[in-house]
Amino acid sequence: MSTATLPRHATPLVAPTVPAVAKPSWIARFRPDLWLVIVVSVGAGIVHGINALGSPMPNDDEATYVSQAWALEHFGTLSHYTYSYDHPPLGWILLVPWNWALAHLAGVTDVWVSGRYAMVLVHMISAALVFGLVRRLGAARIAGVLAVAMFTLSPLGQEWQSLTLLDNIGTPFVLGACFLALDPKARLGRTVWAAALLAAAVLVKETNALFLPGVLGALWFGTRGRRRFVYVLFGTLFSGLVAFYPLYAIIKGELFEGPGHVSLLWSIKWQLLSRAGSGSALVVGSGSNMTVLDWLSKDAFLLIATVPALAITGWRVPRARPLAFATLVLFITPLRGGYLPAPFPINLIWPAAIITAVGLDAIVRGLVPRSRLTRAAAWILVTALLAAFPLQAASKADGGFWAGDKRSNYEAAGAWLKQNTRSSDVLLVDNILWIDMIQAGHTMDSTIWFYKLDDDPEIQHRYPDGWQDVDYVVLTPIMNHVGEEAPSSQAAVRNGTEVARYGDIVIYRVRH
Amino acid sequence: MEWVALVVSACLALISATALAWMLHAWWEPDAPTVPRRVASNALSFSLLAPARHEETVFGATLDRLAALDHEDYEVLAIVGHDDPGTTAVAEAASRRHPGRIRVIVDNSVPKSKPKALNTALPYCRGDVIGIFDAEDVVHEGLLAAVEHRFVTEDVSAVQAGVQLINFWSTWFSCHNALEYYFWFRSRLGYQASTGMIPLGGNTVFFKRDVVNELGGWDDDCLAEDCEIGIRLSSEGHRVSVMYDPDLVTREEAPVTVSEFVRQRTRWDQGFLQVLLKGYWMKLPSLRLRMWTLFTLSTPLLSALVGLTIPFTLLGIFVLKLPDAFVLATFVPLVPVLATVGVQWVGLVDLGKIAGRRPRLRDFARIALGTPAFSLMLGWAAIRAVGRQARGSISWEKTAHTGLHLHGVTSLEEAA
Repeated sequence: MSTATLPRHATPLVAPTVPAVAKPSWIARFRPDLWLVIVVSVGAGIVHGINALGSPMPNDDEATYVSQAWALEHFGTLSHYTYSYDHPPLGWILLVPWNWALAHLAGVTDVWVSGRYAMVLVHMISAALVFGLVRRLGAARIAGVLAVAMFTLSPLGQEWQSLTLLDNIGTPFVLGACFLALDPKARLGRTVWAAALLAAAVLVKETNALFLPGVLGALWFGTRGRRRFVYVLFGTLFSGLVAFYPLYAIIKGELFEGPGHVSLLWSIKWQLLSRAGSGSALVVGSGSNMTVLDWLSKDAFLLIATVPALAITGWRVPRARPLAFATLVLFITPLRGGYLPAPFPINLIWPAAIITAVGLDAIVRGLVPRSRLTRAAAWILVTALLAAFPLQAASKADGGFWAGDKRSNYEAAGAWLKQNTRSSDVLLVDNILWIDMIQAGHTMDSTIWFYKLDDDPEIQHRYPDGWQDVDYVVLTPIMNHVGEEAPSSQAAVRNGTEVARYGDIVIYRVRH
Repeated sequence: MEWVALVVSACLALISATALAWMLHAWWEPDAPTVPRRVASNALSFSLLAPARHEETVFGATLDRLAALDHEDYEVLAIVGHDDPGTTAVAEAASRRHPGRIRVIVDNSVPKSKPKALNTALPYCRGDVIGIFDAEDVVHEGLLAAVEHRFVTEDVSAVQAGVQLINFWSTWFSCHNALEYYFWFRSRLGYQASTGMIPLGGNTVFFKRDVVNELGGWDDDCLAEDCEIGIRLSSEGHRVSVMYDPDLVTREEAPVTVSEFVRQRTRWDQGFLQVLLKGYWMKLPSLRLRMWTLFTLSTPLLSALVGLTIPFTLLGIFVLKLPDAFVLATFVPLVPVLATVGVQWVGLVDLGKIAGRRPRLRDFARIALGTPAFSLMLGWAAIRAVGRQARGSISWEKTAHTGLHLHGVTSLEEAA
């Protein structure tokens, strides 16, 4: 009989006909991890949840997303104004059932507040997955706890992770895809779910496509002989699901550019090509350079520790190489000189925390003798050293994240408007006050997101005299920051009389 | 209307996704340890049944190969019809070439069918194990040793080994047909066996003789006697082992005309339907298993439905004027369909290795582009099957064979 001619793929396969011998259930095998993951997740949730509404200050983008979720819930449209394919909509689609549940089950009716609470839940899920991912990369439990601690306590992370941003909503999806892709048994089912989760992550925010090479690399392990199936299945499912975004544009007739309508391709072109670059972080004085220096002032420890950790994990931990590569790409991105989105640190902190923890684990394993006592001693030392940095940094961060009410000025301004204006008064406000006023019963017809007076044809048609049709304008840091990009708002402020002031928020009545 | 579209869309997505999952069952987890090739222990004796009807062109060669298998203790029973002198002559010539190995059994039943032929030969069988082959099968010489090992080491009543259609290059639908076989025998049957309910294949299937006698042989009137006996085995609590080794598969020929394919498929679909209506499966021990059988036996009808995915989607876009979200929903079933095409491409590469012929770009394109048309053909066969069953027509529409799987596969002969 011929046996030598068997190609490798043709190894005889036996379909099991006898049920496998009863193995201990997965709960029994992972019990210590399971308890620990609950503890770290709840711990991370508490740390994250303290003063979640007070700090950081309400943010421009987060107000946009909660407004879009509000519009979807109440009008069934993807945006309160025209949806312009700025980002795929899955992120705020997911907020809708959450907002509904909080409103009906817990009485939380302010969507901005619901959004902040959603981020607590998102952070808890992410923390559990960070722990799980560190464990799947073969590191000790204590390394998993450390990773979650770095992820949660990073002052830079705290500045961004509390905001209702698409990057935060996408994080557990990316983490879940990485976690499943590293399934130790390399089951095909994990390929399916990893594809679905990464596609969901991309449909939450397109930039998550940056993690595609990392997930593809993670799928490599343990799939010898089945790789073609793994990658074909992943590729078709991932692209098939992501395709629903352009498909939506096609159905709306908004894929290609054309007169009189928004289009997906125009938005992509604008984001990739037309948006002004921030310069390379290596060039002193460039936008990126200042941003990166700001990051380093907030969390130099984690960002710098990641660099040697990348080298160590790349060298000693083969299963961590794909994630290390993805992290490297993210770390290099600010150097290349393109547009650097403000919430970029969100996608830096969790990979940095994981890589640093796995790197430390590799060092401890490599240097410290294999005894319980010495290993424990080494980890106590490492933890003590690490604790010093984030705690010190956290205490330095302006005002601290666990104290201070950075929302009070907005609340006060909103309260003044609700008390002193009628819903027929035309208000020109930023989007944080916009969603506040709309929820208080003002209509979209009269409460205008200030940008729209300059760039929305429909609004301009309604108010042909521009700023002269406005009754009140509220000057906020956001509006100040935009400056001359919103000339109508500027004109309204110049022709306004100050009627109330709360910190850096000033309300003007416009003189006609 | 919108909600109807949504429900239909969800059902189609579910059907095609589960079909895909079962296609992939064999690869779901890391490979099981490989089984070393066996040398015949000759612990069991075999009776191999080879029914043939109007197969004089290929039957002689098949019998010669069957007579040269690597095993000491087996006999071949060539079953021919009393009204088919051509095939009978070929069988008798082969019997003279291999005295003591091949016997010719003449089936006098009218009208003729494969189960009747098998039942005619059953009393003449002397082996511990009965194996079934079709007239055009190319059987690997090491097959009996491997099957014997299964019977010896596992407590099973039947062993189903792999069958593979080889000529995936012949027509635009041959690759679809051959891949159906590939995934069915390589993967799906293993899953069926693990659930405790398996519709067996028509050949390269082996039974303990006592068990067949105990069951009373095959169902004379069933158009899918293979499926039927499998369900009966399962219902009586017998265990079946599924064995797939790309090297040992029995090679067969895919039908090369649309009408032939549709006739063959109609016969199987109607056979499944007969088994479904016969209701023997209601004896299965658990409700879950009964539901699973109901689903398995409805597979031909359901897979025909999946073919409607594409026209349905087009309907959703152009005719129904549904709201955007619902239009998107009608596209959901296309995602598993897309993944299935990808998985079939990978299967085609494997199939090319088995067939000893590299698939060409044309074959990959035929898989991607031919899916809707192939599904329509399946749908047409399913409708015909339902129609014939409703009219009570159970005549045997036989498939013709020309030996295409033997041509152009010279490497096969060398390897064997």
